[in-house]
Formats: sequence, structure tokens, C-alpha cells
Amino acid sequence: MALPDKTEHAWYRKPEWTRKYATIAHVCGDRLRTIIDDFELIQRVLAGRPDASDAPGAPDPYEALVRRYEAKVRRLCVSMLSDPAEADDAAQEIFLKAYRSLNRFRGAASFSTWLYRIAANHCRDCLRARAREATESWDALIEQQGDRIERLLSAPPSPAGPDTIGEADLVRRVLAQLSPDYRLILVLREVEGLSYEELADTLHCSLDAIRGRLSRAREDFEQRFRHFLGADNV
Amino acid sequence: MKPQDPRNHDQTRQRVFAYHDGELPEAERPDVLAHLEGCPDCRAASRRWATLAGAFFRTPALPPSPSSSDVFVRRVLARVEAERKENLSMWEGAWRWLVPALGVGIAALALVVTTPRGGSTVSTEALLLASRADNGAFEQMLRQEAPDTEEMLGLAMERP
Repeated sequence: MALPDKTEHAWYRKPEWTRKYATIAHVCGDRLRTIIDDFELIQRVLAGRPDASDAPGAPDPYEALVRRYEAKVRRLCVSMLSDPAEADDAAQEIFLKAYRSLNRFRGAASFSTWLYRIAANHCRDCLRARAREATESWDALIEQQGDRIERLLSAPPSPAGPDTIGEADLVRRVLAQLSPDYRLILVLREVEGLSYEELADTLHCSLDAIRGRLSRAREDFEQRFRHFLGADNV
Repeated sequence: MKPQDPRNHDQTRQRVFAYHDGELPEAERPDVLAHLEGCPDCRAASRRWATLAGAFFRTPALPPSPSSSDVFVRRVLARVEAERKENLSMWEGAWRWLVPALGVGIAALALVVTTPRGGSTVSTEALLLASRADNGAFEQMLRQEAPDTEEMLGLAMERP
């Protein structure tokens, strides 16, 4: 008589659990499936072996993770650093840092949140390093670019981003005036569309702290433009 | 909520922003809506922020294209691979000196353990006797007067 296959008794192979898993996956949508899939890929990277079911020449498990998140990480880097070349270098560094610390990933948050945290910290460090170099003063910027700022604020916004190179440069110079912490929270909220809970997970603080910091960042930014925002807005 | 009270100002603004972000709990919404109705300052602040966000916080114009994605992924993996190899060669290098070092260490330990520890090979008695010129007669005298070694040592130290 053949011995029973132990894997048949694994909880996740039992029909009732398959049904439960399918229900949870249906309720939570793709997000849960992605979290579980990421976790399996991480286990394979850490074990340093391809999966038994992988076809010969199948991609490296870390490649699958990089492919899944590169667009998101690169977009955050471009929004934070405003320089595509610097953003690309930063994004590479972020994936390398994530690879080095993969054995410290405990699964308390999803891999996506954990990676985003590394990305956010790295971009903030880049901005801090940049802030130590000489930066343009707000007064000088207003004096040189006041008319263009006025035009930009009065034109209907295009959701696809700055329309011209000149506009992109202006946006870059304006955002460079923000402190790295304020810029980070505003980019994560306004460009990346993170919810308050995701912000709290990424920036490792409470929801109350997020509400306060976001509000202060917006007021600080707004104060600079009081002069430009007409009487109808005040 | 009293907008005129500066102590409440921060909290009020936080709630108004949370309302516009769709992050305000359902229970707090009527309160904020009522406040916005009667507060032109908060209404203007919301409009100002919408204008600024539309102008300065937009999705980057150039999302990564598929070809640039491939180049990016290849670069990252090349760096990861280089790091893996570096770690591997570091361990291989470490083995090259670690094995002989361990061998030498074990041999040294074995030598220390197997060497008999007899303590001092010259006894105190012999030293005391050797320090005297007339040690033959002195030793004989000591052996007669002192019944055991302890007493013999005491006498040897007392007698000039």
C-alpha cells in the first residue's frame, strides 16, 4: 500500500480551505493574491533556488519582483527628484537596498509597502543631500519666474503632467523649495494617491501624525503662493 | 467646530483636508459640511489647494516605456548578480584562509592541552639550601631538628 502523500494533508490543499482562500481572494481582490505571490517570490529569492515548477530558463524570482514594481518606484523617484537620470540611479539603488535587506523582511506589511518605505527614505536622503548644496532662494525664483507661475496657476491643469520642458523646469524649481519631509508626503498623497493609512504604513507613523503633517505641508506650500492666488480664492 | 478660535484652526483644517481627500469618517462629515457652509476662509483654502495641486503635483509626464523598463530591469539584475558573486567570492576567499587558520588553532590547542603541567620544577627547599654556602652541613642539621618539610622550611628561613 502506498504511503499517503503528506502534502495532501496540508491545510491549504484541503477543499474547505481552498474555498475559504478563494472567498478571501475574491473579497480582497488582486491585492491579496499579489501579497501572497510576492511572499512566495521572496522565499524563493532567500532560498536561492528556482521553483520546481519553473520552466528551464524561467526568470529569476527577484527579476519578477523588480518587474512588478519598477514602474511604481521609478515614478516616485521622478516625482521626488524631478531629474529622470538621477531618479533612475536612485531607483536602481532602491532595488539593490531591498535585495540586501530581503532577509529582514518579516511580512508585517506587504512587500509593496516595505519597498515603498525604502524608496521614500532613499529619495528623502537624496533631497537632504541636495539641500546641503546651494539652492535658489524663494524670492529670487519669484522675481525671475513670477509671470510664469501666474500663468501656470491660471491655466486649466493638464492631468498628464507639465506640458513643456519650461513648465517642467518651473515645477522642479518650485518643488525644490519644499522641505524633503513636506515634499515626500505631498508627492505620496497628491501624485501617488496613497490613502492616509498607506501613508502611515509607508512613513511609519500614526494616522493622526499623517493628518497633521499633511495639513502643515499644504499650508506651508499655500503660504508661498498667497500673492498669486487671486482675491476670488481668498 | 469654531473656525474663529485659533486653537481649533489646525484641527479644523485637518478635517477639511481629510474631507476633500475622502478620508474623513462618515460620522464627522455632517459637522465638516456644516462648517464649510458657514466658513468662506476654509472654502477658499480648499480651492487654493486644488489649484496648487493641479499645477504642481501631477503625474510625471514620461512614464517608463516598456523598452526603458527592460533596460532598467537588466541593470538592476546585473548589479544584484555582481553583488551575489562578490558575496560568494568573499566567502570563498574567507575559506581559503579560514581552514588553515582553524587547523593551526586546533593544533595549538592540542599542544597546550597535552603538555603536562608540573608546576615549578625547582622546589622552595632546594632554592633555600642552594642559597647557602654550607648547604651540606646545614641540610643535615635541618633534617635532624625538623621532623617535617614545613618545619624544615621555617628553620631554613629563620637561621641566617
